[in-house]
Amino acid sequence: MVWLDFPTYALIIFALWLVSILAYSASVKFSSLKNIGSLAAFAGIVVLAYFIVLLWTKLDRPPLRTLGETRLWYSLLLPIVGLIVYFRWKYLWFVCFTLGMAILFLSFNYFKPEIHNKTLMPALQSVWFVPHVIVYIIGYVILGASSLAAVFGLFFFYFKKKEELKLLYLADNLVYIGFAFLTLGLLFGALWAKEAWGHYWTWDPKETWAFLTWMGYLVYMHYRYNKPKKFLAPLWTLSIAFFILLIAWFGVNYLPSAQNSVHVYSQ
Amino acid sequence: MTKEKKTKETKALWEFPWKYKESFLIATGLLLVGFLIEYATGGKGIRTVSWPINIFILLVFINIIVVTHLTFKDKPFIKWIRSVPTAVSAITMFTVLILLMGFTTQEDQTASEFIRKLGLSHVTSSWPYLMIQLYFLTTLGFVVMKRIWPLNRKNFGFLLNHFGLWIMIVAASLGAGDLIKLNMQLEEGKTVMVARDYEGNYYEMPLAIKLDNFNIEEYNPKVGIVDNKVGGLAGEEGENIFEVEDGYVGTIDQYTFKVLSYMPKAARTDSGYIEFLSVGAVHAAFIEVKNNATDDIRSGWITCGNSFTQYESLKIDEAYSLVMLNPEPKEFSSDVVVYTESIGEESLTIEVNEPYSVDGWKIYQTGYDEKMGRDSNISIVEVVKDPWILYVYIGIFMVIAGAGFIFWEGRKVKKD
Repeated sequence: MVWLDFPTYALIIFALWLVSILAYSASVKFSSLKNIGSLAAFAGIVVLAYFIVLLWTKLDRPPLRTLGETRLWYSLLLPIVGLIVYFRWKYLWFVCFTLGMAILFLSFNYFKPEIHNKTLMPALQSVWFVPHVIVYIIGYVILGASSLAAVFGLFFFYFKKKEELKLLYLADNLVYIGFAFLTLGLLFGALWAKEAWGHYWTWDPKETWAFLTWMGYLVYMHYRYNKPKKFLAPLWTLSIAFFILLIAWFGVNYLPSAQNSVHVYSQ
Repeated sequence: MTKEKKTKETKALWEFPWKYKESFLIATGLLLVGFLIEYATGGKGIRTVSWPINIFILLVFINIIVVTHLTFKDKPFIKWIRSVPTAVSAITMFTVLILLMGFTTQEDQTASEFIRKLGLSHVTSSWPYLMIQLYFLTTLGFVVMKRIWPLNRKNFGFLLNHFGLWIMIVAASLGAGDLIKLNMQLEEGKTVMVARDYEGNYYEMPLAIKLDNFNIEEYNPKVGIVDNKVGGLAGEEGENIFEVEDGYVGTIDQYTFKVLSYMPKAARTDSGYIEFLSVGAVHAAFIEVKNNATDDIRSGWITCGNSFTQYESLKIDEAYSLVMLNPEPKEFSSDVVVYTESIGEESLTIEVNEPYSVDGWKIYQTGYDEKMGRDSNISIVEVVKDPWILYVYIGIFMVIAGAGFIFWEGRKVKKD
């Protein structure tokens, strides 16, 4: 009753990504190992993408309905963002970290498997379903990555007594891109809601928290723009914004104010 | 020289130019005043305004912003209103209020007196919400005025986001009072012209709907293990459960299940269930359960039942039983004829996610008689009129385009 033969796929992906992390780490001394790292990371991405396609076909609906299913997408998209950032800005630690996070998400699914569940309520059967959720997941992944940069920035500041400006610039780039996706997710949701429920915004708890997330990053962007020389305040803002994002993503499931929301993921 | 610089940096509070301190004091003050008014008026909240008062308010608001901008745009106060610190304080305090809302159940009748009087049980129609939103829209409005000209590439992206957001929020807030949302209960073969609002008042509609046929398709029901003592599904939610299918074989814990027969439409006879393709049929399955620990095999019919047939479960052993859960709807729709003055009559199908628009009304498929399930001959549709929707959409599409700008241009980092 597990998803297809998920454990086999998961083990292959774990192995590839561990090799990748090791190769990347060793490349500090033997720089030729970098390519092996990238290759292994990429191979893992391809295997996971293949599995998602299989699952999609088997379920006969997009695998985006349960928390476990969304974890699959995070595990797929995090390393992709990691690789892109690596090729663009050469942050070795960053790609390793995204691979580690992806392994973590996948192991949740490995150790606590979900069952097949094909049902999808009629209101969710819409052309908007996939763009709405995928755009959100991409936004969350990129913003999550920006918060990683922020956490590292804070770490360097408090423990190494160093202002790593490069990290702040990285966070900026990621926030701007992630924010664009977040905005699209929010507004696609509004357009869909009008077609499905008759109104574009109902302050459903998930909407409320998504709106809060959006506002949090808005604070960061405006403050950064206004005070480009400040270092600590924007990093802390980013950490708080990410905390709100986490509540919006899965914390809402546990809030008493959200028990009747259409947005609560099925278990 | 250095002394002079120092005195400049330590400007007194409320001495222009106002910065973060002043902005946050004002934003917090507005929020507090809002809470005070709400409390003083007994937590009644504010009423939404409707036509023509909302148009009047809109024109006054736009006038104030435009005229004040044109007359006083270089005065320090107006410079402050459109400054980034003001924006940050408005966004932050708006966020704080919505955070409070995020943790409080809204429209909750059981909310405590204090929560209700502060307006926290109905945030979006409360005074603090109105105050902070006004502050937010004012700073946003002034910055839009500042950047509206010249319309170069940089300002264009800026305006898509800022002006778009302003239009969106203003149209959504002022339009809320003109939004009409009604329910129509349709019955097969009958023509209905009345609709009901959520308080139970009836209205005669400028359109009539006749339901020809209500269609519904269901997923196969799920079968789960229940704890005989506790009564609920055993184990964690969604774990010990499978979708019934002819020939299905599966294992949960030490039990192996075989679905020997499944009929989506069946009726009870003395010896079990037989196929029955008519109104009142139930889902029924004959299932064999083997306990792999004891090699004990049991089998029997189970059904989720309906208004004609009682549900039946199968006892596996002393601790557990097998039950069939009510099937979930896959899709449902209504074949209807709509009559209006402008189009005469038109036959069409209304489906979830596929509403029908006519004369400014939108008709949505929302429900049916759930007790009757697939035998329902009742269909519930919602009729909605939202005259401001076009302006909300204009705002939404501007911000979507603006998001494209943000994505493309990214952050122009001032690396200093």
